[in-house]
Order: sequence, then C-alpha cells, then structure tokens
Amino acid sequence: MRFLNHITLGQYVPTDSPLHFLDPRCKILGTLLVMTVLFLTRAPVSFLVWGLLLLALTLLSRLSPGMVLRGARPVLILIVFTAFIHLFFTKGTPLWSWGVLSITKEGVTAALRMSSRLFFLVLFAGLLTLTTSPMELADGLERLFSPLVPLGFPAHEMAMMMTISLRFIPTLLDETDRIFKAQLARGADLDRGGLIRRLRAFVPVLIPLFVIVFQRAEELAVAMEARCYRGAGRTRMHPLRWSRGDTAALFMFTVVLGGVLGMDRWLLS
Amino acid sequence: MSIRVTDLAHVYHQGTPLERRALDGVNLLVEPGSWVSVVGHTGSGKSTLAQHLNGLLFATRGEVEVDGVPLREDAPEILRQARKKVGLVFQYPEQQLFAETVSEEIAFAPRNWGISKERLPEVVHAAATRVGLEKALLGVNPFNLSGGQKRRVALASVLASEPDYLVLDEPTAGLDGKGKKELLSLLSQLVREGKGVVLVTHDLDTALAHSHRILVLEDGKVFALGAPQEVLDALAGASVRGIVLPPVVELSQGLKQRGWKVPITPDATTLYALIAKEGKRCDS
Repeated sequence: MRFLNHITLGQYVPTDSPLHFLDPRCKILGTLLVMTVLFLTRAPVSFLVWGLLLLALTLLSRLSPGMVLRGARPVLILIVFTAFIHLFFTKGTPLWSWGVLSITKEGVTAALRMSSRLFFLVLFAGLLTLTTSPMELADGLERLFSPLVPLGFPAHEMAMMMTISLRFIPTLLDETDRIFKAQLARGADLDRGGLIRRLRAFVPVLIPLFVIVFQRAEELAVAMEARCYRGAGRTRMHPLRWSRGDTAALFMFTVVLGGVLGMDRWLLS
Repeated sequence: MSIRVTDLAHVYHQGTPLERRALDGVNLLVEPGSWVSVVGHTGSGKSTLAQHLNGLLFATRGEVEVDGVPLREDAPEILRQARKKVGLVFQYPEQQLFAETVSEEIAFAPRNWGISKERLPEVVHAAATRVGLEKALLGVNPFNLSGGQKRRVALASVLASEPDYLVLDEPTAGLDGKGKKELLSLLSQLVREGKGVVLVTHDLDTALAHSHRILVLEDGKVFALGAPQEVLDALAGASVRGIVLPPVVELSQGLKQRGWKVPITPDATTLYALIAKEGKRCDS
C-alpha cells in the first residue's frame, strides 16, 4: 500500500537564483502588485505581455517552466468553469445561439480575459511559493503586517500559526499513513461499497488522527512554554535584510508593471 | 504452512530524490509454533520488514509468501486472507483506538473479517481475557483507560481476529517492568499454542531470552540469522551499529577472554552457577 507515498509537500524548490535571494517582503509586494495590475488590464494583447513577463521571471528563477505550469493544475477546473460562465452568460452581439444558450462576441472576449487572469494569477502566486521557503514567507508576512499591530492585529501570532501548520503537515501525513495501515491490518475495508459505507469506513482513521492532533498540540504548547515562548517581540536567528537590490528589484518591477498598464490603456483607447 | 520471505528488497520513493533502500536481500522463515525476533538499530528496516509480512508494503524485489501464497498488490482477496492470518501490532498500538467501548474496539477486526453475530461476544471475551482485561472494563470508553490498559485493548483487538501468526513492532516500548513481563509471557503462551510470533525489537536481551531464531538487521541487510547462541557468537566478535550487548553477555565474554571456562551467554543464572563452580576450583 503506497498510500500518500507520492505527495510532495511545500512546493519550495531551493536553487540559488536571483529570485530566491530577494527578500520575501519584496516578493510578496511584487506579487500583490501583479495581482492588482492583472485585474486592471483588459486588452487581449496585454495577456501576451503577461505571458512574456511570467516566462522572464521563470527563467530568472532557474526553475523548469513545466514545474511552474504545473501550479495551474489544481485550479484548471475553476478556470474552465469561469470561461464557460462568461462564454454563455454575457449579453451582447450574438455569434451563435441554440435555444436559451447563446454565445456573444463580448462573451468570447470576457471568457478569454477572465480565464487568462485566473491562470496568470495562480502562476505568479505559484512562482512566489516556489522560490520562497514557508519560513521566509511567514517572516515576510509578519513584518508586512507589523504596522497593524498597534491596531490589535496579531501579526506575530498569525505568522507563528502559519509556520506551525506548515511544519505539521508532513508529520500528520505520516501519522495518517500509520493509522490507515493499522486499521487495514485489522481488516478495515476502505475502498469497497457505496459512498456512505466508504465515509463510515474512514471513522476509525479520523478519530485516532484527531486524538493525535490534540495530543501533539498540547505537547507543543508545553514545549513552547517550557522554553519561555512569549509571543511577539522575539529576536530572530536569521533576521530579514532589505538590501538595495530589493529596492532596485521592486522599483524596476513597478516600472515594468506600470508600462504594462500604460500599454493596456493605450491599446484600449 | 509458514511465512516465507525470499530475497526481499524494498526501496522507498523509488525514482525520486528521496529514494532510500530500506531492505536488501532479506530471507526469513516463520513457522507456526516458533518465535522469531528481528533486532536492529533505528532505521535498520525492522518495521519495513514487519509491514511486508501482512501485505501493507510490497517487495521492490523478491517475494513474501504466507502459507504458500505470494502477496501481490493487485490481488486484494489474497491480501485480505493474508491480513487475517497475520495479525500486525504496530508500535504504540493504543494510538489506533477509536471505538466508544472496549468491547466495540475489540470487535472491530473480527467484524471486518465477517464473523457470525453469535460467535462475536465469545471471541471478544476470549481476546480480552487473554490480555488480562477484566470483564468490567468491556463497557468502558477506551480513551478513559490508562496507557498500559490501552495497550492491552489494542493487543486484544488484533488477537480477536484469531490470527495464525502475530507480528509485533516494539510492543514493550513504554511499558513498565511488570507490563513487559506479562506481555512476553503471553507471547510465549501463544507460541506454545502453535502460533508463529515475530517480535520486532531493539532489545537484544529480550530477543535472546525468548526466541527460537533471531534476525539481526544492519542498514537493511542481514547481519546474522540463526539460533540465539549462533547470533550471539556472531555479535560477540563484531560491532553492529546500534546493538549493545547485554551486560551479562559482556561479562561472560570478558571472563572467557581471561581463560574462564564459561560460554558466552545472556543468562545470568547459568553464568552465576558456572562462576561459582570455577571459583571453587580456584580455591582448592
């Protein structure tokens, strides 16, 4: 039973590319900029430019384009669904119609635009998680949200929770695998019968797993308290350093994105 | 009638950067009424081997046969039969508990194997009695029991399938002295009744005291396989990763090296008698 044998978690792929060396805050801000501008662009040609930009960043990250493209697979259904909705439910000049269904010229454009936006959104975000380790990501988010701390926003706690959950995913997968096997050894039949029977069959796996999760959480809490964990205000082993390179990169990126937006508006006028 | 392991190799995550060879060229025979212990350091492949014996993992190379039938991933009916015949007790089995009462927990496996309703209470009672659980505990929620009692419930839940072979992965881990002794004597009793027992442990002393045969694994390869005395002689002359010789063995070895006429033995009583005899001869 090779249950869960092929799941690789944490998509982070360490290489020594310039993109990996950027400060996580720089990359998070860059990604936010991309998302904003992505939803402001409308002209079809702009999306070719987005493709080129993604290709350029992929080359810069020294990751294989296939690996980056694979990031879109989980949301493929969503992208196709969005395209369909726009294709059939946009009012305008009809190109083709059959009963209540009709495809309009505007519908085709809208479908292409929305699905491209989603597609690029996921891939640019994917590039961020491929080139930034979960720890860096959590650190970066904590620092970015720190201005909100005086308003009562728990930036440190949020980052800590994110780190802990990421850390425990592989551990819990191992535990699931073990309990799954233990119940198989006791004759549990997890892939026979109808839906209800299958769901019921998972109860002997889920209950022990929940028990273990709570035990682990309890142990972790005790261990953290034993080491005098006191939440916010901790110093870091590897403090984030915002270098001149980061400023330059973010500036250049902003200029490029501004260019894309400018071109888009010019194409539309 | 036996579990036969032939030239077994297992590679985890084959073809990925995480590829790891856990077992390589292991041969083993487990016969009914015999006790085989598997010892080795952490990561030596002991647990991996245990999971091959009832079809939870499959050979990358080689074969595992249960009563003459080879285990294959694509033969679910054969696997079910094998899993019924070979009971597997995982390390910390109390973590697999899920039912609302102890008797429901013990009934889980026999019910899965399709036992008749009339026989079920009888089987549950028999298994509970075997592991020394009082009748009053049968209606209790297993999560309210102590650690040692939980372990007994988990063990009973495997015994209730009435397996011909029993594979146990570190069953004494975390038990106190009394609990350990009781568990080992239960296993001896099961062997006398004709069940085949495979005990996976890192405790060489336990293995030497009870087994008919011992398999010593080092980094997934067989270091030694044979009767306790043969294995002991092989271990005494070598250093195997993660294996520490029991103090009595070390003592007998030291005496032997100094010319005393004693065998290398893990048994303190035997050694004491021999020392007393040799000592007297020195006096006269």
